[in-house]
Amino acid sequence: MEPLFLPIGRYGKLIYMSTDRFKSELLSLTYTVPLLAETAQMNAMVMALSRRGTVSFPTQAAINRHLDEMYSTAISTSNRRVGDMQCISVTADFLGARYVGGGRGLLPEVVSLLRELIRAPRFDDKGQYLSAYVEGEKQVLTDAIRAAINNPRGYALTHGQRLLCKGEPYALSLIGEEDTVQGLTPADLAARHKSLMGEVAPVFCYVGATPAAEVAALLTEAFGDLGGNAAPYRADVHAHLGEVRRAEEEMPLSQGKLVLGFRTDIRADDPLAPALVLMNEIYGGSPASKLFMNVREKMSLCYHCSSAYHLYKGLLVANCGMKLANRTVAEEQMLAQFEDIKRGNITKTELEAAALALANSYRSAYDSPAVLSRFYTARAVAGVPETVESWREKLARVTRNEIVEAAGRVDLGAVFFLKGTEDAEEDDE
Amino acid sequence: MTQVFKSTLLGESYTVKKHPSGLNIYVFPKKMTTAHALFATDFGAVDNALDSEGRVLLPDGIAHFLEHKLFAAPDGSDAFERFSEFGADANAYTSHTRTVYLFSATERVADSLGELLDFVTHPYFTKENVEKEQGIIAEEIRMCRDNPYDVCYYNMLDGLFTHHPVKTDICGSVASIGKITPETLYEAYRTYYKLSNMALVVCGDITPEEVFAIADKHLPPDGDTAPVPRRCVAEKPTVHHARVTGYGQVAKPLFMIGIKDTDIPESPAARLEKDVAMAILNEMLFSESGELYNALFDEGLISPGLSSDYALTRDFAFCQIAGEAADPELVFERIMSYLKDKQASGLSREDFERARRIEYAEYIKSFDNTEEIANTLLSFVFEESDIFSYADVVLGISFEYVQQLLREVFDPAHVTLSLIFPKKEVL
Repeated sequence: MEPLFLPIGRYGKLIYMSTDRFKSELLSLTYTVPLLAETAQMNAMVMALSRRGTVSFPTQAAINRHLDEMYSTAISTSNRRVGDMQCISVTADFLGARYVGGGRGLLPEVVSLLRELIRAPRFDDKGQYLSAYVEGEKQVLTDAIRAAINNPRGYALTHGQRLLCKGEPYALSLIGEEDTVQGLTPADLAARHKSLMGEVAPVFCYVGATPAAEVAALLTEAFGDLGGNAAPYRADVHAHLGEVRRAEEEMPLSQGKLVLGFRTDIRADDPLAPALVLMNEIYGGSPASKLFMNVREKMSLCYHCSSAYHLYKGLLVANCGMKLANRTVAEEQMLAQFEDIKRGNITKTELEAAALALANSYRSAYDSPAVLSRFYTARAVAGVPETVESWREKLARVTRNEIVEAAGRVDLGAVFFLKGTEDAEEDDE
Repeated sequence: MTQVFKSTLLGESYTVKKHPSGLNIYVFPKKMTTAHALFATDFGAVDNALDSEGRVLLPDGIAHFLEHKLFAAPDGSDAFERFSEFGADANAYTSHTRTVYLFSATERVADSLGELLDFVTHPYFTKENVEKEQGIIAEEIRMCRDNPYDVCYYNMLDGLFTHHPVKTDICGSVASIGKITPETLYEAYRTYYKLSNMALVVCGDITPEEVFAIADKHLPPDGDTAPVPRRCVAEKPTVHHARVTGYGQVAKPLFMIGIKDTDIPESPAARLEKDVAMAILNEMLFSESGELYNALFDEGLISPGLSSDYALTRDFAFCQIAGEAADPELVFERIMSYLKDKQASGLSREDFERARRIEYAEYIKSFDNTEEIANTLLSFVFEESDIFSYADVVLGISFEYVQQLLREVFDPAHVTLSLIFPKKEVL
């Protein structure tokens, strides 16, 4: 299932994957812009407002009813980082043609709805978003920003990452800060919408059984005139400079959350990038990893202890949840496991297990249209010409020496601790 | 003796065989890259109170503890290590009613399947490995205690049920797991891990014959088929507490409305019919295209998303509606008043047809993923129903039955409101 890349109009691009293995199909559209404090929040708002109402479906209820009629087609939006860029996407997941009476199935209707959502939001007679919708979304956004505390692990990870990338776009929130929400106006947001339509090249991704030419024709008709010379891809990937940054916050929790942030200068297109993926897998990527097997299983310090590698930004972020009394020993042990890798203490079993787990994971991508779409869209954004298969082959060829070499270019940059103030040794019921 | 079930609508089939050991094996061939296998016992957190004689003995959280500890082997290794040698991704989970061990793999599926059958059928518990696990699970309990959504859910169950063990946290408490010993684990294992109380479900690019051959190699040739003890807990239809309030690390209050349902059909077919009808009814009442959700959202009373779910098992059932709201009491009143109005005025046939179409579409879409197929098939297995009958049941549900459930299930005397308010000491 190798993808085809087709132009959509002058600026747009379609990543097309032909398959009849699924009963449903997927079509996504992604806008990529530099991640900036001035626009990140407005971009998120423009995407959210598209679900509030369009010219043909003036209310959210009307959009949702239309989706129901299209055999429960699901529309989801996402807002994520790729390098120092912000990618906002809308994805439609819909039933394949053979289950809805054949012919061209739901695809023309889906394209038409995406066109409505993206190009024809409901504006008032001054060409601005309805103020009631803007006020409603401001409240939703404010709630979402405040709700970060509802998820202590996510909160700690976000703050650890911010500390690590302090002063860089990557540290910015994708939905912005609470103090700027109230200043957003319908006019500014409409201007932001206009600029997204005119200046950004959309990337589409389709996974399904409709022929490529048909998909491309439908998208060209609906979106072919959109876009402009998009801002170039940017990712500031560098080693950590200076002292390790440390920060601590308190929350009324019974368990503390420790985050260790590491940095590297290895970029996503660097020949050593696959070695770092392996390194992360060995360090904390699976239940066979050093963090899981040692910090959790052997030392019983925690329930969760894992790590994740941010390929496009060169970050490796490890985290663990533990009672206060174990905070220092947990940090020591997490760092000790990392140093172990740097020294080359990687057993044959660990290396093979990591390689097999990654091979399994990337082969599984073929079973998920959503995973395929995310994989290829991110690579299209970052300009890394890689297929699932070529990436998998690179991972399979990584040697122990390369892992050690890659680990040698990874350094601790930040330690964030979310201290639980309700930590207690006991528990009766 | 094997039996094959087919679906013309989906173009799919699965094969069932009762192994001489007593284990029922279900194989759903599917030409996907990833195979997914589940080895499950009909033993969950609600069964924690019984030993082999039916006496109330076992500590809360024992099913979940056993799930963690079953991965341990006598040589000090654990099953995760062996799965990783095969490149498989293994895991396990415990719910109110079952414990499930699983893996997904794209290669060496036969090796992983053998390992799955081996480690689950070879328990190894020692004082040392039990004590070590107590530390890990205590951290899991603390993590859940810090999760306001979990706390809101368990508070709702505590409000709904007076005696039923479904109200007990699946992990137990730090105190209750402190009472778990190798002996209690072996007792629970002997009682509930009889192969006749278990099921193996495999979905992927593998034939039934291959799976049966692996089972022959790794399972004993016979087994104890005596039924396991089940605790029968009588519950009144009325709730234990109408309101449960808690405080947690939340920005905005959370609410969860629980509706206790004690009218549980005896036969699996009738249970499936009720389950489907409740799914249609929930879609009609609470979906994001419905009038209630859009009124509450447009007025700014709730955050995006109002979830609704109905759980129906052999001996407990409840419906839950959850969301976030600045004034959850007001939202609760609005929801209760909407239900009362609907009970009086009746539902719309158009909405009924829309909801049925959604159920149908979601059902078809669920056959795109081996993990989802395996999990859904397992649910049908333990509920003694055929997964392929679902589409027919959806089409066979009558509008009148759904109306009847609206009147019967949503009785204000059966309702608990669980609320989590922000803790006073805000950062």
